[in-house]
Amino acid sequence: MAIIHFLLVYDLNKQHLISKAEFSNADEATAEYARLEEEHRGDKDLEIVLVGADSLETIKMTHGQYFDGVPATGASPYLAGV
Amino acid sequence: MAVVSERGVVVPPSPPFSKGQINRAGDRLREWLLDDDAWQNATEQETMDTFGVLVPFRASFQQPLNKVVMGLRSFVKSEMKALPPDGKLPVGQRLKREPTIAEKLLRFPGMELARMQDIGGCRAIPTGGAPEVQGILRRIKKHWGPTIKGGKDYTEEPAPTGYRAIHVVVQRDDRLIEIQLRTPGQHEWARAVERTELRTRFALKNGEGPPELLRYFELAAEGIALQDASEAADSTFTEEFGEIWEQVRSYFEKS
Repeated sequence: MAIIHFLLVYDLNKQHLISKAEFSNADEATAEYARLEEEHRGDKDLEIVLVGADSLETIKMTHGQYFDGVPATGASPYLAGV
Repeated sequence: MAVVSERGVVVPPSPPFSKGQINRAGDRLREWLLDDDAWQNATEQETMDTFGVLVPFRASFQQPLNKVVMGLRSFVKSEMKALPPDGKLPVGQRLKREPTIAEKLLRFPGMELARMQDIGGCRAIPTGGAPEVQGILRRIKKHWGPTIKGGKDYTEEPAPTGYRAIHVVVQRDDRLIEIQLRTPGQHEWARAVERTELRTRFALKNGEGPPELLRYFELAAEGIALQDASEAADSTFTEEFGEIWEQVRSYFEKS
């Protein structure tokens, strides 16, 4: 299965994901990652990150902190309400 | 290709970069993170020698990372008892963010950028928990043994934050790639910490933040480790956990 690359931009002030671009080509994804980081270099309110997996559903599980409303998986009582 | 600017000729660095070139770029990043003025006042050549090295250097991890992930996926597939019918596997990857590369260099003054172990990183969270994590680890050792260059078992020896997982660093195409193996409970904990970091903007993973919040996550990690091992928490633990939760619950109330 091919890896799909997702370039995510999270706004720390708005507290949500403001952009999500999808790439099947890793080199294109990496180049766009660098371009976006350069454009926003020094901006401490944005988190730009390049992640990859077999699907968006998997990314929401493995790197889910940038997605709103994704419920916790195991629902440990020690993390209830967190 | 040289670029002529008002300050003279700027020569972009061209790969392959020497270790010295890479480490000097790292040293400047560290310096610029400490002092905004230093960055603003940097010459075009210095800027080029920093980001013109860092950007392609980081990009050179993408293909080795993809290869490691393909292998890791096959190990996960072999070990997981309950495979989802859609064929999706709980394996994800990321290329480290520029600011976190700089912050890490600042936290570890002796660290060389050329030797950083987690510029390309991936993780697997097998649904079967610790036994499947151990099975994947055995496969990594069996198939990739000679390429293993480091790692740490944070399950045996948790980080001061409470973080638990097994990390293995492998070398692929002359690049170091970090593999994280987590049980669903360990991952849920790490996600909760990251969610809270985004919300509060405390760098909790680096041990920065209100002591009660750090203590809460440390205890929660311990509680989850007990759950993972099917052990019961004793009354002292339960009592302390209850007390610390009362101190931190306001951080989690939805605004």
